[in-house]
Amino acid sequence: MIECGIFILLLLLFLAIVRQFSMFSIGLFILCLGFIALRFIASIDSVPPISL
Amino acid sequence: MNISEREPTLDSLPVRLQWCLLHLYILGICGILLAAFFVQFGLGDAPCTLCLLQRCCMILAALGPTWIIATATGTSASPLENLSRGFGISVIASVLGLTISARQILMHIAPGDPGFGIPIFGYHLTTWSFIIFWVILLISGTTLLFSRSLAPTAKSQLGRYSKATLALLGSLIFANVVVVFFTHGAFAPLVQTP
Repeated sequence: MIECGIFILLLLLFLAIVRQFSMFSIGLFILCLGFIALRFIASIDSVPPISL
Repeated sequence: MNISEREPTLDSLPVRLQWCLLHLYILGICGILLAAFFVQFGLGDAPCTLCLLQRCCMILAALGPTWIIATATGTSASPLENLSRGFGISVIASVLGLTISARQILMHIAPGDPGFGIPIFGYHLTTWSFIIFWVILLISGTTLLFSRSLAPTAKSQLGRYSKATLALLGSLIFANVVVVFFTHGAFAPLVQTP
């Protein structure tokens, strides 16, 4: 669900950029970036198959 | 003065090359997204969470040049400011994408590990993704280095090639929304151990 939401946000960001809503675009960009980063951090719950 | 009243200016060669590069940049990422669809549906290699996040970062990186092209028709900001903002978006997106792909590569660095997915031209998709993000960073950094002489001049309206490029990118983002929704469902779990 989160991935689908991120893609929807990216589509909104694309439309905002094309329509030249500058401040709204910057806000959406930060939101997209934050969600991707959070999803990435949340995925780091598995231990890599390397034992040091 | 109104944008539409501006006299058409003859762009210098570097500015024209830069304008072409912006379109090639977007078209290149569109090609990569299409290739990802081919691997997913043609070769039957379903993406994992990290793969989809790298795809998101690639789209986000393509939105930088989209910003520059879209704002070339006139905003309150100067062309130099728009160029810097556009490539700033690309740099930030690439750094995040690079981090995600590096993490996925490191998960399969142990000797004997077959890696995740099907190798394409000898490399796994995550390795290709790592290389592509590096190239995006290099292009963005080089352009920012010469930004003063490469900033596009204001245009009265976008040409048909520009509109077609932006439409292709928009269609691919929409296609990704549809594909992710229908292949992975609203709440279906993705491959959690990429």
